[in-house]
Amino acid sequence: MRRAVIPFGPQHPVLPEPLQLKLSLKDEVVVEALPALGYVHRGLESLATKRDFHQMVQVCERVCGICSVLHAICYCQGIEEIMGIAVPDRARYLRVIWGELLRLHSHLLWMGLFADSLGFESLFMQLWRIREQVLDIQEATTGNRVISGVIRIGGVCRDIDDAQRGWIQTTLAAVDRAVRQIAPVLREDFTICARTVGKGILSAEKARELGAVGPVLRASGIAQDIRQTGYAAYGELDFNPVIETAGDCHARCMVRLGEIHQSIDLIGQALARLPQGAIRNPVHGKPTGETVMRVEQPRGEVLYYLRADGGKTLARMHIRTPTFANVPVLIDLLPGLGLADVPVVVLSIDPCISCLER
Amino acid sequence: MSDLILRGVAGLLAGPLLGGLTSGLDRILTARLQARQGPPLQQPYYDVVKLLAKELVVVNAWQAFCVYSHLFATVLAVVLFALQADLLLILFTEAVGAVFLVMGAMASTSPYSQIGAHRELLQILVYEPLLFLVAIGIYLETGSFRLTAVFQWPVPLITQLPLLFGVLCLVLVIKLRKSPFDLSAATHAHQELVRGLFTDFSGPLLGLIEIAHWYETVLMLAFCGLFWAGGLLPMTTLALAAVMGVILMDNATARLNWRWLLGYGWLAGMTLSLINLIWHFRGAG
Repeated sequence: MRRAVIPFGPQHPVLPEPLQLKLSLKDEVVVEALPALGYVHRGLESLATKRDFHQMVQVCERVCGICSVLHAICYCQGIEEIMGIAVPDRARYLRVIWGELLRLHSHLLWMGLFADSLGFESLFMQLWRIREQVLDIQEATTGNRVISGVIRIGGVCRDIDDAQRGWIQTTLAAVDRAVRQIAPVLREDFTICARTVGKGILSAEKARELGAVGPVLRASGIAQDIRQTGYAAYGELDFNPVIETAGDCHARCMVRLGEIHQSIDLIGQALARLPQGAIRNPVHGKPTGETVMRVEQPRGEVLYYLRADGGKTLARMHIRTPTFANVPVLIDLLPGLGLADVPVVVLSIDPCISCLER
Repeated sequence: MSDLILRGVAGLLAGPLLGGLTSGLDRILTARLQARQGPPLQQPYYDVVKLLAKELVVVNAWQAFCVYSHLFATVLAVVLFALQADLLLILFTEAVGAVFLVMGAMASTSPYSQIGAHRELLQILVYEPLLFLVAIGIYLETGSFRLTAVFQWPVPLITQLPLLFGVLCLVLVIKLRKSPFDLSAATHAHQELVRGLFTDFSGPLLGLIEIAHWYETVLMLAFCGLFWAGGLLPMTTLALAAVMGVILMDNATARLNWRWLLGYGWLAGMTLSLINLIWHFRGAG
């Protein structure tokens, strides 16, 4: 067959968001992949110079729905560092709880989409059904299913009472059981292994060289997780990064599977050690200075650069999202793969185009 | 003569009636296996009526000609089956219909459609030899390719040709476009080729392709039923069992790729067929 060019996206049923990959194929083997971006650019970084720095919490939360809380946490931590605001202990733990709930539902969402990209529709349905229980907790504790809107500069604006703590733990135990029931399918099913094992292999050296982050990096055997820096209350909780060494699509799936159990464990620890006290400290004055803040999103490290010159708006805000770091990895992985493997490898980096294009 | 006419009419009606109902049943069972409610049984009819009512837009006249030919050949194959004609003639007619669909997809310049057509050709390359081996097995057992002889055969074929029935079920998975072999076109379009083979068909032409698919389904299930041709009830039971097996497989597997189908799938089908034929031949000897 002669060389063919496939416009994979921006509107494609496999892709949850608009990303275009121009795939040059020869006999259904990818020869070259060229990304085209910019379909959902909203100029949110520029908004930082026009909106009050308090209002920017809501804007940052809307950079991406699936990473919402963690964008807000990263932004707020940056402003708090610039202004020297101490966050109450209870608020730090609550941030961990909502951050991990978000990671939990994001990974379940991703696994469903991954199964769908493999043509395993029933697995997709089962995973999204489990995710609904996590969204129920989000709704009950924050008032919203996805964009929770609870993070504020200086703390959080909602609390979790004792009755909710018990219910959350019971619900998460059910989620844990359900995921453990499904895990053998993801881990051992013949057809899933045939489609994922040995596909899109990223070595540890290549991962470092290309600047991979998050589960993509950890699936190549590098134990790097920004939560290890101890932001919010992570420094007081027990956890180790989940790693795999194969570096292929299956390993990336296994890392996220492990992180689902890890998130449930971290929420359990945070609920058990939740300190008493205030949930928010007052904010006085306006920020002056600059900082770089990093947190671990479900897709990897997100970095915020913030600069303020004493006004009510920021002078500059820049966000480097995990998908931005992982797109070069994707472009490196695609050549040489069969067309049928493209959706699997694309999904394996868990691309978030809203984050990427801001 | 009137009996032949009645059978022909029954064959004509079987496609829309049994094929549509099988499609509706498939959607309900699939939904229940996924713990969903699913659409009503008659949903496939609503879909086809809606498609037929849409504006006719074709990329070129050749595409439309291929769809009409595909439908004609598939309907003819079912009618020939109802008339209890020669098994080889039915298979050739069905193959002509399948090739016309590929030609229709190739008439478009869309890369999705083109690659889907190439994959469909590879699928034909896999299942057509297997179907002929099944026919040869039936011939060795009954001594004739004519369906009249098969229907009069006193012993259920499945007892003598169990591996060939398994091979026929493998072909059924490919023909019904189910996982793990929904390679050239997946039902839900959530694959790299979008709708693959059908990407550039729309409106009434897509409706006609769906009707042809109903006829194809009926034909394949009738083939399955042949393995227990002791009456309408055993035939239906065996056909339903085959459909259930295919639906279960569809819900329990991910999609494999064409290299896997061409390598292992074809090899497994050929091996099973040859084992059954040799076993049968030695038994007869």
